[in-house]
Parts: sequence; C-alpha cells; structure tokens
Amino acid sequence: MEEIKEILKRYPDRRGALLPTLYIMQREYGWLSQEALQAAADALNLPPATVKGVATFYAMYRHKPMGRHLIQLCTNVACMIMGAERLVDLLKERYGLEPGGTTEDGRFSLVIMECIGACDRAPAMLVDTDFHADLNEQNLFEILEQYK
Amino acid sequence: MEIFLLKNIDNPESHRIQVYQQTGGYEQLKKALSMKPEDIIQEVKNSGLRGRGGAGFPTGMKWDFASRDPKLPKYLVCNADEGEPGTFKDRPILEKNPHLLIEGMVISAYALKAERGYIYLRGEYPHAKVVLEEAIREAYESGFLGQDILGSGFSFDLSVHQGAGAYICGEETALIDSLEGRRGQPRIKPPFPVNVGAWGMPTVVNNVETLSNLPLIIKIGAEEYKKIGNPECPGPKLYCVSGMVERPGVYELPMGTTLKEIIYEHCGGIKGGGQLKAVIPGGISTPVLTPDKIDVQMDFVSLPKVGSMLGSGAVMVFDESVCLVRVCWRAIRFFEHESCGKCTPCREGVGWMRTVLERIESGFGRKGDIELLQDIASNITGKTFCPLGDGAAGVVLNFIRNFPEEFDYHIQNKKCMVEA
Amino acid sequence: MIELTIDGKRIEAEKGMTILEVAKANNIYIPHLCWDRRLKPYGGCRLCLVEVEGQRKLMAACSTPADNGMVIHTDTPNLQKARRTVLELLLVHHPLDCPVCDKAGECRLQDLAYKYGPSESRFYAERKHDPEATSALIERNPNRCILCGRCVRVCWEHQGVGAINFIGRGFKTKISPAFEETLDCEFCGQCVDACPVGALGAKPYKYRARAWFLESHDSICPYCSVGCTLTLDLREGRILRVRGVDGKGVNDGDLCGKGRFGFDFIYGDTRLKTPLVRKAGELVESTWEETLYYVANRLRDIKRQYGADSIGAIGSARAGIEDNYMLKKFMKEVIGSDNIDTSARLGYAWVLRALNDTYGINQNPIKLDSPIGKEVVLVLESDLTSTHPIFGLKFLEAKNEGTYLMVADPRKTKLARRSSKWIRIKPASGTVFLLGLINYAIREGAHLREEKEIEGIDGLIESVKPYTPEKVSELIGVDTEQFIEAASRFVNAETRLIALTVGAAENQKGYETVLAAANLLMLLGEGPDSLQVPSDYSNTLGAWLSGTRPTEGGKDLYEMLYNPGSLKALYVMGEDPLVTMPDGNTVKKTLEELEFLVVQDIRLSETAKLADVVLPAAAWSEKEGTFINSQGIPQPFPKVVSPQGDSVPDWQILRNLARVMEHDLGITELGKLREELSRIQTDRGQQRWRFSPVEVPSVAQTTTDYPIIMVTGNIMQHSGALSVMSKSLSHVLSDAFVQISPEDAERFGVKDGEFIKISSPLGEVFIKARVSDEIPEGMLFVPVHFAHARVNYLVSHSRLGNAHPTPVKIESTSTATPRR
Repeated sequence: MEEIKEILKRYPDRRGALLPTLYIMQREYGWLSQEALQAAADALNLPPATVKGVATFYAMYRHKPMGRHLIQLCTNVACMIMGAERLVDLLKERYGLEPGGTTEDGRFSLVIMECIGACDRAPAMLVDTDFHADLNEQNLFEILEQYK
Repeated sequence: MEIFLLKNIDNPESHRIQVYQQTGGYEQLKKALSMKPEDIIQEVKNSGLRGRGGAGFPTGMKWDFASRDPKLPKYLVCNADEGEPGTFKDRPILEKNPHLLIEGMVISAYALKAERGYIYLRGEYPHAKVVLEEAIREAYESGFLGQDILGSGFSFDLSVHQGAGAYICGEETALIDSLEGRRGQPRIKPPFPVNVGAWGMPTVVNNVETLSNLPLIIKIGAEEYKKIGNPECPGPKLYCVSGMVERPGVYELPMGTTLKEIIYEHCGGIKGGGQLKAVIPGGISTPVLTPDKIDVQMDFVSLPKVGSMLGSGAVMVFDESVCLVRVCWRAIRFFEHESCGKCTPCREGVGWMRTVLERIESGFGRKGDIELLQDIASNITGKTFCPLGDGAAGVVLNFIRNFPEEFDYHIQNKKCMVEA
Repeated sequence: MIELTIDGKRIEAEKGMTILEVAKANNIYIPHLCWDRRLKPYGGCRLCLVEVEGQRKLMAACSTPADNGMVIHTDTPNLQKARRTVLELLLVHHPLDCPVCDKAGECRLQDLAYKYGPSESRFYAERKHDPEATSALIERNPNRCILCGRCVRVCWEHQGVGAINFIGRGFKTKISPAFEETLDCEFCGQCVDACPVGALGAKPYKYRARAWFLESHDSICPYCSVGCTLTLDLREGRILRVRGVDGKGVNDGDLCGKGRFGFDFIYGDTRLKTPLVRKAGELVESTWEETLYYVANRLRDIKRQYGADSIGAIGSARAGIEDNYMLKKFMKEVIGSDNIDTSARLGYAWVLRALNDTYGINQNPIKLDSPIGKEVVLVLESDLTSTHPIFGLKFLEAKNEGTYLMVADPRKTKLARRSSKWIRIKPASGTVFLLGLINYAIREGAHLREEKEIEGIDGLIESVKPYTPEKVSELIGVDTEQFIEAASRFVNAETRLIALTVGAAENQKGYETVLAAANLLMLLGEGPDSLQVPSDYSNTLGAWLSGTRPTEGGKDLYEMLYNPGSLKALYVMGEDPLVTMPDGNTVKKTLEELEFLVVQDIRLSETAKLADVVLPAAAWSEKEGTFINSQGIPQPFPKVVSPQGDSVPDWQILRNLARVMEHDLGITELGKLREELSRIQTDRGQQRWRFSPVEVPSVAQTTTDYPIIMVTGNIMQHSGALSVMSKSLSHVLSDAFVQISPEDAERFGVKDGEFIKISSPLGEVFIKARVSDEIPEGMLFVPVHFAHARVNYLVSHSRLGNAHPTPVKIESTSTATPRR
C-alpha cells in the first residue's frame, strides 16, 4: 500500500496509477487473480470490471498462475526467420512446454512474444526480467538450465 | 559525421551521470535554461527536426501548437514504446545513454512550459526501466530534475510509466489512454493531444530519438544541424537493421543515407553472400521493397517516391532463403494479436486475412484466395479507426503486389517456393 | 452557423455538431450501430462512414465535426461496398438465430443486413457458442454481441456504474462483468435498451412476444417524481415490457430499473379483486352494492353521532390528481370535513414551509438540468440516483462536463463514489455542515458582497457563531482542513447548487436542513433555483396542488394519525401508513381506536388488514389519470389494460359512494373532473427574502444504551411500499436488510447475513444484517420498503419537521433472545 501511495503521487488522478498497480498486484499475488484485481480496484476506487478490462487488454499481465520462471520468447518476423519457431518446438520436445502453458513441475511457463526489440540478435527471449539473445538449439537449454 | 546519439555507448558505464557529464552532458541544458522558451521552439522549427517515431511530423510545429494552448498544466510524454516489429533503435539510448534522453526532455519541457513528464516505456524492456529509473534518480540528485532546476525557477518532474504489452499504445492517443490507466485504444482526432491530451490537458508526445536530438540542436544551433543529412529532413538518424545481413544492429548515420549503403557498406552485405530478395525499410507496417529499389535515400521524403515509408527506420532484410508468404502471414498474425478490437474492419477483417494466409501458407490455398485477400485488404484500407488496420492491409497488398509468384506457387503447388 | 452540403442538399448547422448529428437533424439516413446520443462518439462500427470531398479517407460521420463548406456524400457505391463488407464481417460469427431471438423485427443488424445484403458471407467459421448468462433481470447472449460497446459505455459513462466492460483484446474481446460472475448491478436495464442486437435482453420479456405483434403506448412512470415517459409494449392486453425511447419525455429515453421493470406491480399476487367487509372479525368478500351502502351508512352514523370533524381522509402520493381531488371533494361536499392530508405532510410540506420562511415562495419546482454547467454542486446526505434516478443522472453528467461535484454523506452512495469530493460526514449532521458553511461564508465576508441587505442578517450571524470550522468539523467528523477546503470551494464558486431530498421515508433531514440551505444560498446571493429539492413520489406534488390537505383549518396528518382518539372514522386511499410512516406503534394505536376504517387500495396492504372495509381500486394503467412531477409539469397517463377483477378507478369509487349517500358531486366522467381541476389556482407566492435562522439543530445524539444512529431511506430498486409488489423488482431484492459497517459488525459480533435485533426506545425488530463499507462506523442504514421488517416502528416522528435520526442498539441473534 505504501508503494501504491508513492505511485499515486505521480498522477493527477487515481486511475492513472492503474497500470503500475496491476504490476504490483501481479508481483505480490504471482498473477492477476480475482483477489489481486479486487485489491487493485479497492486501492484505486474503480469498479472491478474496469480493472479487469484494463488488465486483459495488455499482453504482459498474467491471468492464470505461472511457473517459477517465465520464458517470453519472441517469434515475430525477425526472430522467425532466424529459427525461433524451431526453439518453440524444442521447448515442447524437451520440457513438454506449450505456448501459454507451464511445465508439469511448475518450473517454466512459456509466453510467445510479439517483438521484444532484439531483432539484430534474433532469436531472443526474456526469462523473467533477464534478456537473452542470439539463441540457438544449444545455448537455449544452457541458459534455461541456470533457472531452477 | 560525429556520433552524437550513440556517443559513449561502448563504455560499460555510459549510463551513469558522471560519464555523461564528463563528455559534456547536461551542458546543453544549462545553455537552454538561459534561453527563452519561445526561442527554443523557434530553433527547433528552424532545425527542420521531424519526429523519429514513424510519422515524421515536424517537431517544432507540434510544440508550437501545444505552447499556444493556454491550458495548464501541460504534459510532456516520451514515447518509448517502440513496438513496431523490427524496431530496436531507441533501445541503446534507453539502456546506455539515458541521460541524453533526460537532458532532451528537460530542455523540451522547459520550452513547452510542461512541469510533468512521463517516459512511456514498453513493458518488454525491463532492463531499460531499471536503467532509466536509476538515471532519473541521479538527475534529481544533481538538480537536473525536480524543483527550480539549476536555479532557473523552472521545475520538472519525470517518471517512468511502464506499458504492459500493447503495440497500439505506440499510437500517441492510445498511449495517452494507457498512461491514464485505460485500455489503450486510439482516441478520436480532433481534438489533438497538443490541445486535449493526457487528463484533458495539452500534451506533447515525442519519440525517444526525437527528444534525444534536442541537446544537439541546442549545442550546434539550427543552422549547423540542418547541414546533417538530407536538408529536407535533416539530422542524425538511427537505423536498426535486422535479418539476413552480416552485421545487424543500430547505426547512427546522416538522414538520407541510402538503403544500399546501409545494407552493403555498414552492415557488410547479405549474410553468407546470399542474394537479396526483399527489404522492409521502416518496420513491418511499411511497404516491402524489391531489390531494384534499394538505391533510395532513407528519409521521410525519398522513400514515398518508391512507394514506401521511412517509418521507424527499421530495416528488415530478406534473402532468397526466406519464404515471403510466411513472413506475410507472421506479420498479419502480429496485427491480429495487436488489434485493439474497437473497430469492425480491423477486429474482424485482419483475423480473416490471417486465416486465408494461413491456409495458403500451409498448402490449403484455394483458387481465388489472392483476390479474396486483396478484397478484404482494400476494404480495410482507409476504413478503420486508426492506422493499425491500414498497416495490416498494406502488408498484404504490398507483399502480393511485389511477389505474386510466391503466392501463386503456394496455391498451385501446395508448398513453398523456397523449400522447393 | 455553418453551411454544408449533404447529398446535394444545402444545409445549415450549428458549429460543433458532427456530420451524423447534422444528417439526423435533416432526416438524412446514415447507418450506425455504435452511436448513442448520450455517449461520447466512439467510431467503432464503421458503418457511418461517409465521403467528404477533398478528403482522401472515408470519414466516420459520428465522430467528424461538420465544417463550413463540406460537401458530403452518404450513399455512394464505394460506401455501400464498405458497409456491405462490415456487415459481412459482423455476420461471420453472429448466430443466425433470428427465429428464436427476441430482438428479431427490431434488430439493427437484421435491418442493416436486409438493406445492404449480402445474404451470404465469403468466410466460413464456426459460430460462437458461449453459454448464455442470466441474472435477476437481464439476459446476456454473448454470441450475438457485435462489440459496439454501447452497453459498456452507457453503464460507465452515463450511469456511473461500470458493472460490465470489454474483457480481453482484439478479436477475442468479450463483454462481461469482471469475473464472468452473474450480473449483480443496479439493474437499471439501460444496457438492454442500448443494445442494437439481441445480446442483452430483459429477462421478464424473454420469449414473450415477437416485436411485430406488440402494441405500444406512452405512459408516465408511477414511481418517483421525475415523471419519466415509459413506452409500454403490450400484447393481448397485457403489458410485457417497458422501454425508454430517445427523444420522448422529460427522461429523453433514460429509465431506471423501477421504471423499466417495476410495471408488473399491477400483476402482483396481492391485488384486490373484490370489496372486502369485516364480518365477525374477518374480512370477507362482498359486492360493490352491499359494501358501498354499508360504508355510506357507517359514515352517516358517525357523522350524526360525533360530527363531521370526527371523520378524516388520507389521500395518495401515487394516485392521480383526479383521484385525490375527488377525495377532497367527497370530504368537503359529502362529509363536510376539511380533515384530509397525504404523506407529503411528513416531508415535502416541510420543504415548502422552509422555502416560504426564507424565500417567501410556496412552490419551487425542480429543473432536471439544473446541475449542468454549475461550477460547484453540493449533494447533501441524499442518494439521488436511487430516489430520483434520472435526476441523479444529471449530476453525473454535470460532473463529466466539468462541474465540481461535492457530496456530503456518510453513505458511500453512487454519487459519493463518482464525486469530485466526498465528505464523509456523520449521519444526520448535514444541517450542521450547512451552518458551518454559513459561518465560513460570513467570515469570508460573503454577506457584504450583495448590494441589498436581506432581512434578518443579524439574527443569522448570531445564530451561526458557534459553528466555527473547528467546531463543525468536530461535529460532522471530518478534518478541519478538509472542511475549510470544501467550504472555500463552495463559497467562492461563481455558480452553485444544493440538492437534497426530504421525504417521509428519511429521518436524517428535515425542515431545518432546507432552512439552513436556503439561508446559505441567500447569503451568497443565490435564488431558489439553486436549491433543488424534488418531491417524493409520482404525485406527491400533484396531491398537494390539487388540494389534498387541510385548506380551511382541518386536521392534518399529525393530528389524524398521531393523536389516538381524535378521529372516529378514517378513509385511507392509496396509502399504507402502518408501513410508510414513522412511529408505527402510535399509528397502529390510532387506527385500532377508530370506530370505522375504510381503506381503498390496489392491494391488501398492512393498513387494509386493520380496516373495516377494503375497496379494490384500479391501478395505474388500468385507468386514466394525471401526475404532476417534481418539475410541476402535469402529465396525463392513459388506460391501456383492463382493471383487475372488480376494481374500479379511485375517483369513480368516490363518485359512486357519493351517489349512494345521495349526493351528486356533479362529476359523471373524467372530463368534467379535469375541467374542475383546471380551475384550481395555486398561489405560488412572491419572492421576499428573509433569513430564518435554525434555532437548535438536532445533532444525532447517541447514548451508552443506544450507541448507533439508524438512518432510513429508499434504495435503488424500490420505491416506498409499492415496488415490493413487482415480481421483477423482487427478483433483485425482496428481503429486508440492515447495512452495518465492518467495524460495528466486529464490535457487536455480527456476521454478514445473520439476523440482528435492533432496538430503539420505541421498540425492537429483527432484520438480516449486511456488512458493508458503504456506511461508516456508528451508523445503520435500513431501507423502508419491506412491511414485515417494521422498521418504522423504531423511528420517532417530529412535529417540528426536523430530522429525527434514531439512536438504536443492536444485538447479534446468537446473544439476543428471539421474539416468541
């Protein structure tokens, strides 16, 4: 709440703080559960439907529980022509990980991204907030093995 | 040409305020604060600076509109939501030269008499958020932000507003909606943001690269600035090149450098000595060019002459190994994903184009599908609420127009020309 | 003015209008689905695209301002093709279930598809098959939704609710409540009228009739005093639904849930169908003839034995002016008594009295648009969007257009939530708040600003001396700083307005509150237009104006109902004092001590159960009549259905009774009655300003025995005791409840949903508790609508018309002993 109070100072009205508040709730609750959205609605005096409508508009808010580590892999044109789709297949083969899904052990979730601005070093991904580029069939798993 | 926007970025400490100041950083702010705000606006007008986000609108004119509106407070918003696929030109500034942007923003805010600023940063750049917030903290500590900046009496507060994954928020009115905590959908224009923007107040939204040009204009003056690159739209330009070239990356070059020079000299030519097949000059929404068109100056006035646009300066290079039907399909899948859903032709039409492209690409194309695609696309063009739908329709129309044989081959042979 | 050309026609228009508005004003058809006059242009459906010469792109008529010299084409081959494509795309996923869709025949999509074709789509896809979602009154069929967003926007922009929203993005967008839960909102049903297709529908209307078989009549709403025009849709002599129609009535198409869904009270199970006469202690069915002779004889006997002054009558705030006038005429000419009054005595009469004591006027009709354009509007302890919903909407509209909406209320009402500033004052401290504003205004020298001096200024200055900002903020329970900020904004505004309600059902405001408000406004140089106090119900004002009150020194409601023994016989028409009036014990005692009680009503009310004779009256829509709304506008409503059973219009019952009593009232038919009514002159009074200080404002006092203040009032879905007869409204809420704050729930060990005992010095009741942060610590809020709750038995009344908030104590039933 203190954090939200600080954020509120940056905006001329409470609603302005909605996007940052949703990030905070996502961090605190792991994903934007009903409870998390209700908490955001209460904090900003907004109807829950308003909050949910905003939360579901943006691709980076999570609407179901996520694994411990979130792989956000880009498959947009630049990454695609550099073989990103093969990496998606490999994640499925190796971890049984489908786009939008989570591994059975809850270690990884995979979300397909639309351009993360790393086209010169494609294919690229974010694991949690860490950036990894120049991926290939070998280094993909070397990198992921660092995330337990 | 002296490197300005990307100065110091090879220094691992380039994002720190000390490094920035050691090489003359924030000196231009001091100079600007001794000028009259209206003189700065005039200088920007004289410089011929045009917005680097894609539309190429004259920055000085935008500022002029906003500064004439008597309403207060005014807002300055930096558009750091470069979501156009193929674009990563602002990223080095955001991650490695953040103080250049901050200095540019404070100068701009002073000129506009805006006391509140936001950097609308795309959610996909978490590292940039950390860097920018640290840089903002440093700038506050050094008195370049906050109350009474450098004793000038001018105050300016700045913070980062993190987006959350919506391409449409790169459009300035959608960006403002998103800043206000709404679903980021474009607004009806007029009124324009310069009069009725964030929270109903005059708001200037400028791209990262645009704002980063300000210290340079203050430093060398409009006359010298105009000598850089094409005099019709001068200044340094960041070109970001990806795809099948030897050395992809971000290049700071004079505006108007030819596409050929960029690909073959700066980027070392086609990867592995391959054959160039197609190139998108300014991000996925800009019309694709065939190899015969690449001897064109990369600027706002020259590219339209060959049927394309500078856009964000995101050059995507495709060689003979790339299936363009698949590229087209993937691009449209992107637009479908990013369509906000507000207007019918875009929401429903782009989905249909993707469906038809998908069946062509996967070998189930039917006779007449190309005509069907052209018909849907032409019924989207010019009929949607915002340019997103136009962009999607343009991709389909241009790929079909320039590479009809690849589409025909897919439909007739139920497979890809490249694989064959 | 600007001049432009549309389809070759030269047209003049106001600057600022959109192309679509100009076209509409000139009867030029441009198709549209997402546009709604009440809402900001959206530009989503893209059907209203037009060609503007000189513009490269097609322009959306709904969101493009018309400009001087524009040359516009609305129907070219190019546009037809664009519209055809839009419709083709919309129809890909829209189920073609028109045969079972209630919207068929009045569906905008159906009409447009018919007009533009095509009959088939070039795209093939599985149609959506999301489950239908039902709720108390609104059916959602998401498959039929075309995402025009009118429902979402009307709910949030216009109603200020936000119960539904677009969920998701792009092609996957859906419209739903936040968590796909069952819709649980105000049930105003505005979204139903706004929906151009069959995605939203009124549940009571589902599968009831094809649109083309409906017969429509316009009528006036029987609930609150706004007097909205309802469009009644009937089939085979039965009202099946009610709609608001754009451009019609004072409401201009807007309706609240009561107006839209509450019409079915006329089909309520408790409707009376025959006269009832008490025989051997039981009410038994009787014939009209027998009953009227019986009533005539008893009234004659009582008059002979005790005199005409021993007989009184109570008129109705819900019956037409014709009925009320006839009651007055009957009492005057047949009985010879001036003992007549209505429930207005407990509320609205005090408003008029206060206005007379200050501005010198006898009437002050409200203006629905009064909040629009004001710099500051103060809404004082009044839930306007519940009691007068369409008036309430104007406050939201004003706020949207830039008015500073200040709400002083302990309850978190909708206006409080949507206000610019919510000052959470203690319950029933509104008058003190106003006195504080007067004190502040005087400190600021407001009384010196006006040129002319108003009589009584010295007395006013003296009277508010104790109400310093420090003292007032302590009394009302807010920070001094917050109070001063609000006071400064109100006092220093260029234009301002105070709005509040004073009604029989409310116990936290009264005469003194209106007095204080009027004093404050006069001090700031504001006339009575700046004080907006609507009358309660559909005909509260009409009953007053038609003379349904003592006009020649007769007994008023206080003397008739709160003075047991003062009357021997009472004739009650369309009122249920036992439920709707305070101090139920005394009322009951009075009624029980009567020798003869006649109740004439549409249903067997609680009061009727005590009566000697019960006469069945025809209801609204079963008879013609006229209501006078809060704006003072007389609005006739038609007879559209047959009366239930043997029920007869009120005025006819009285005419017949008079005949039986061998009195010719000279009224044979309604026209005659209306002619007489039209001759009534009402003295509106002359403005003559004088300050009338509030002597001792009542501040709600709690004691150790009774530590909580109970406030009573109306809620959104109900209106007095009438709406509980509506099955539809009862689907939303049919059970009495009391709201208690989480803090008090904790303190008194009350669990949500359990029955609690509430006691005041006057009695005790058991009601289900609802724990809610809508009310603050130290307060209970109880709706008055539910007879079985007997809330009015706890509340005292005040012959001074002052607020009479009720201190109570509460006990959880786990500790209290239930009543045997």
